[in-house]
Amino acid sequence: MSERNGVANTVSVQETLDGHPGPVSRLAVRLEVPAKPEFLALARLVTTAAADLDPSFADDRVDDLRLAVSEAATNAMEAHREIGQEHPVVLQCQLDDEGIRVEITDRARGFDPAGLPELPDVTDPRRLHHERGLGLALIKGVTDDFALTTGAVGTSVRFLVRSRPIRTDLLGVEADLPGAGVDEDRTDDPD
Amino acid sequence: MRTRVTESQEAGRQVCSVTGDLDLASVPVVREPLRLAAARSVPGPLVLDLTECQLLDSAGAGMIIGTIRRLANEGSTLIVVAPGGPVRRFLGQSGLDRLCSVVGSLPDTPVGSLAENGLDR
Repeated sequence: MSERNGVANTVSVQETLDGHPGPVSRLAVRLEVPAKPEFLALARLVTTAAADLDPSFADDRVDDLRLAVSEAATNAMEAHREIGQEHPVVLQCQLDDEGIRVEITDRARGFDPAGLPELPDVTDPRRLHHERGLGLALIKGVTDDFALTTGAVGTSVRFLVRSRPIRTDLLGVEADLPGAGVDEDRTDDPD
Repeated sequence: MRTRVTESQEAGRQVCSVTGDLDLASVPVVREPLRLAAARSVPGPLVLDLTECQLLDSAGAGMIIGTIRRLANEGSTLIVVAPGGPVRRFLGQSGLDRLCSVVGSLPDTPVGSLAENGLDR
């Protein structure tokens, strides 16, 4: 299905069991949304609803996912708006045993990641003059396995949000969880 | 959920309350009422009540930073009310909680203007 008048778009959902029976649905979702801010809520809703299919997803991790999707989709939509790109922004996510993998792709002109202005520390009064530029840093901070590809044909942001926190360096609070700091992420394996 | 902004006065303080999501889609709805509330709140502080706000991201944060800057220019400050959940976490993750005071409930907002705020230079 193709985009018409910026309204009709595709949602496809595939359940991919592929020999991994278990409590967690394995799912792939592809969503094309017009590059209009009013569709941000839909992008957040679809991805967090997918994560909610896994009952072991921690609430905080769903919040992290919601924020990361909001930031990445916002950047993609703004990039399209800046150049008048009428194609939709593409959001794909895949739910698996580890968590949810998200990819958000735009068809804007890319940017130089090294050229992003470095934000002054929040304790620096000059920080108040920067109202933008927070998004990518936030995504990196709340997700696992962040990756960015950008070039003349567009930008793709990929990240994983694990269903349970295993990183201890994000917010400090996870450091007290049992099993945190163990150099293995397979503590849930039955064998 | 539609984002709504209401303005009120509580114990002599100007309070601006946002219900719903505070993102790129709703910033245009919230910006002007917030600007007006900020102007009316001087000498301050202005209270931004996010108790009923479900989502705050960097687009909303940018607007809040702009508000803090305008208030600072008038010698005033911002107090954000966020009891918990994702909005409260975001204030910490983004560093916003070091640019303004964050309290858990409206009655907790300090009556004094500048003292409790990190920007009392």
